[in-house]
Amino acid sequence: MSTLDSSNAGHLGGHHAHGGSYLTPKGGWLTTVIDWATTVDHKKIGVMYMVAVLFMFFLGGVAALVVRTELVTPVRTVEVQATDPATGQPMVDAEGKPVMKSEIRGQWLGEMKAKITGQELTSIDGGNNWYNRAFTLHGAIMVFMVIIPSIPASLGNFLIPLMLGAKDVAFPRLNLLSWYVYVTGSIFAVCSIVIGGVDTGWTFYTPYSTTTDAEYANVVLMVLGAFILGFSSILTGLNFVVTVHKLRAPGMGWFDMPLFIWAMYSTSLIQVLATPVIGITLLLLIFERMFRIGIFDPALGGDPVLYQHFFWFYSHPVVYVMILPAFGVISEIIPVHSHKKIFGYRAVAFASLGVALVSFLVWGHHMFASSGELAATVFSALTFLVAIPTAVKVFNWIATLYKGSIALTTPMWYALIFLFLFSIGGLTGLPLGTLATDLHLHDSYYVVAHFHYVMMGGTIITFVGGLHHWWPKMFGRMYNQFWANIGAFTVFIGFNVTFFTQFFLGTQGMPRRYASYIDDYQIYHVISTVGSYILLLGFLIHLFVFLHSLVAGRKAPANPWGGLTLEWEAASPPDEHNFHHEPIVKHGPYDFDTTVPPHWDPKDYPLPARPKHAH
Amino acid sequence: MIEKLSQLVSTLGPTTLAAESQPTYSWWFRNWGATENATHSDTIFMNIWWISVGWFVFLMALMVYFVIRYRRRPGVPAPYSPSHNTSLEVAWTVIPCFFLTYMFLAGFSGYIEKMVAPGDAIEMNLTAKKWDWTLTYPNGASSPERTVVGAAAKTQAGDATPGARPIPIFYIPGDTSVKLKMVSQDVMHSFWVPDFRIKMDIFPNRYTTYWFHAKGPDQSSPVLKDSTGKDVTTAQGEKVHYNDHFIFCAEYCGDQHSEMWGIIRVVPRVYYAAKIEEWNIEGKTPEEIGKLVYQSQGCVACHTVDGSKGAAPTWKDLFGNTVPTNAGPTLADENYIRESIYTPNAKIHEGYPSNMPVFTTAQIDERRMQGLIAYIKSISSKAGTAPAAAPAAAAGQSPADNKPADTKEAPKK
Repeated sequence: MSTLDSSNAGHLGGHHAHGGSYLTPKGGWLTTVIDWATTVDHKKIGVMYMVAVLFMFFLGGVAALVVRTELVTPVRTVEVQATDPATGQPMVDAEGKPVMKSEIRGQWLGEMKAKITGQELTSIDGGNNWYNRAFTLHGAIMVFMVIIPSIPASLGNFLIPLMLGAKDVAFPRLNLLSWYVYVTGSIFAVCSIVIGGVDTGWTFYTPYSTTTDAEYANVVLMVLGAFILGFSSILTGLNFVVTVHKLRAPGMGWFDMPLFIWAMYSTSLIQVLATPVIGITLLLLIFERMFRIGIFDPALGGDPVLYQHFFWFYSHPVVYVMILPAFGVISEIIPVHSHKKIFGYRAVAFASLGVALVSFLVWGHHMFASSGELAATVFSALTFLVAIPTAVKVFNWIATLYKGSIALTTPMWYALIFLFLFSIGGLTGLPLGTLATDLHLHDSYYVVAHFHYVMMGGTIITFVGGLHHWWPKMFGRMYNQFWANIGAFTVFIGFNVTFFTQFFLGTQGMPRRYASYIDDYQIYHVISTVGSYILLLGFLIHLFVFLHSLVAGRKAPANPWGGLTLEWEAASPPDEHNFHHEPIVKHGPYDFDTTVPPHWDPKDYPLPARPKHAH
Repeated sequence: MIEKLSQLVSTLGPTTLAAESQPTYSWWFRNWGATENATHSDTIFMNIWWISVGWFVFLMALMVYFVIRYRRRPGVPAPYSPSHNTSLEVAWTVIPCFFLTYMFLAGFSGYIEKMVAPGDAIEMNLTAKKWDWTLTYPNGASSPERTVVGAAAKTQAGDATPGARPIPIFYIPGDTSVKLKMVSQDVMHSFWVPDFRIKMDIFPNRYTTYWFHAKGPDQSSPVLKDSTGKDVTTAQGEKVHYNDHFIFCAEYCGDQHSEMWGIIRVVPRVYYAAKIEEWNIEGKTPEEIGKLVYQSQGCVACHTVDGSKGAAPTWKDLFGNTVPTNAGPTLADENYIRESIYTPNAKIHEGYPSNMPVFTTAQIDERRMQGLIAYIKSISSKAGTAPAAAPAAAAGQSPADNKPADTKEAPKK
């Protein structure tokens, strides 16, 4: 079962002189910056996406900590003395006691507005304004700028051509354009935050979103940002679909593709088909806001439920844009670190497509509390359909562990953490699909906990796991596995402390997006906030492990884990053009029982004896 | 399997594990619900929970066992094992379908219970606005009672210390089906009483309904006290027991969304009937009517009547004074008050956002409008000096001699 790995490895010495790794600087720092800024190399674009996404993850995370800190007490937690708008002096009441900003409703926003517009500070609207801005910021950034592009745009860009044995994606320039479109959209969103923020929630429900802060551009900027980010998604999706169709290495049939590619293919289909819907919806929202064209606002003759339909027709499929890539990553990590063929390859591949298809039929389950009885019933039934392919995947992953050779590396720990958290996330979704119980749980903290288990416990955890899996390939350096495992463990504990408590909050009656709450809930909120700081600690440990790896990590071998997919045949980090020769596929991506991994000595990898009845 | 399923399906019907047979609450709920539908819905939830726990423990136990049993040993390859097994894969696709079918059917039956009100339900109207509720009883009366939930005023529904916004108390007859016809005056809201385990969105352009049949208070329920701490009694001299249930707005509606609360106070039917008769505006003076409307329509949530600062201008000494608006200084007379209620955005008081909801003549009819004007006059020192005929000449002039000492603009003149 010799593959091209030996020839690739053999060329490493000879050809290194011209080209070298894609990370090799082209000259001085200015040349290097220009080189990266104008690169059409999918690997560099993937790394740039990774940096951008991690930066936005940091911003969104800070907003999350602000929200959690505020919720430690049933009333305002962060108290700042107010300033008298007339005199500019700290404000005191008749008895000389300091007056807090929260007592003067809306002074935070008022000051911000006053700074920007130069107007006299007169606004007295709203003590929760800044809290509402913090959770909107958290939601919008994490959804549109972190989770949606996280795995597809960073790992996907880096890995898809490598896994297919191609030199690059089908349209390299379009790929660079997607990155710039992403950055442009993010800049719009950040501008919106800088000039005062948005208090609509990430869903931009009308008519609130078309009437709030009517005289300011914040909401328009944020919505425009989301609109622009949508195009980045569409272009990337289109690029990946064409790449998968046209650029597979010779010998790679559809069922020889790694499951990560199957997942990315399904994701890309959803992105191309669903994102235009949110694009036009957000545009209509902007029209309504700016030109008062009545579409969603009843005061202008519109219908707010129409907005919900439009919004969720995109945003439910997009939930699978977020989670399908995670499924793909898990389908890679588990077989590689168990040296075991994935159980039920075709079932996993078709489950990806099945989930993508059904995802278009369940948007109504976000509206059980607002839609008619018949529609709700149909959507409930369809929603349970999604559970089946998802459950099948979990069974397949666990069955893959059976009789494997399981190494507890950091990526594998993350895969196991994913199985734990995602199972909770999936199972807690069942009472939400069940009509009777959803009427109670809808828009409560139960939903908050559920989607954090799925989105964060699923996608973000997998993204971090995937980074650990492919880090040696991306940067040619190993990292300290001991500390990385400590980080993973801390994140696991912090995550459960933060979010499991929120299930109880939800069933007991705590609504979403509340800054104040009744005292009974305080103990759960305190525990949850402590958990969020443990999470912060865990992510900081990972950050330092990665930085240490870049500076002082030991050089990574080409195939540290013994993977069989094509990216492990390339050097670590890969050459500029990925492979010296176009690879020819001679074994399946998971044939661990018949193939010695590329770059491995057969002495270190004895193949198992095959039973006679095996074919 | 079949037995377990039939056991599970047997809980589908209206007969459920009643609260009596479940003496202690699970971690999940603060109580087993204030209606039978709530108890049924909790039963469904707990069934799904235990099914989920079963699956989760099974899967995680397998995972942990495999990880330990098949951990990597240097030099020992993973043994050959099949990577596909049709009967196993069919089994694990079909078995979950049984559980999912149960959940769908149970959810559907509970949903119909929660959605379809019985024919004999009393119909009431509920309007929502930023950030308050108004409930109108069948006789046209509305509850003017409010409370500040907090350390100073502990309620049975739960102790709370939010801001000092007074939240409305709605008296509801116990052991009676009540159907709310709900509509919003501005953006979307959602009416959620966690103890009833149901919420329903409220839209500005169409009615939605919400119904419940709250269990009446019994002897173990607390006894209602008046503001002096004495027991409240009915006309027959009986003590009044009550149960309080929080209302939360569950659809994000802006700034004070997280304080858009209310209390449903379930009382015996006789006491309810007496209460709504007491709040009936028939036979009351305009000033009394105005005060009732001020409290029941939620004006009190933003407008103070003692001159202190609120989210909207105070009514104290409003009448007869000139107020700064975006349309220039305007004399606060009868027409200004009327315009500000029916078309609030015509003139906006400077220094305040345009947050005032629009009221229709159906919500505040002529009699109530007269009442509000009379009430505002009664708390304004200038009320006697500004006859209704004068404003046209005075508007836009803001003569300095007509201003009270407390307005800061006065020295400008």
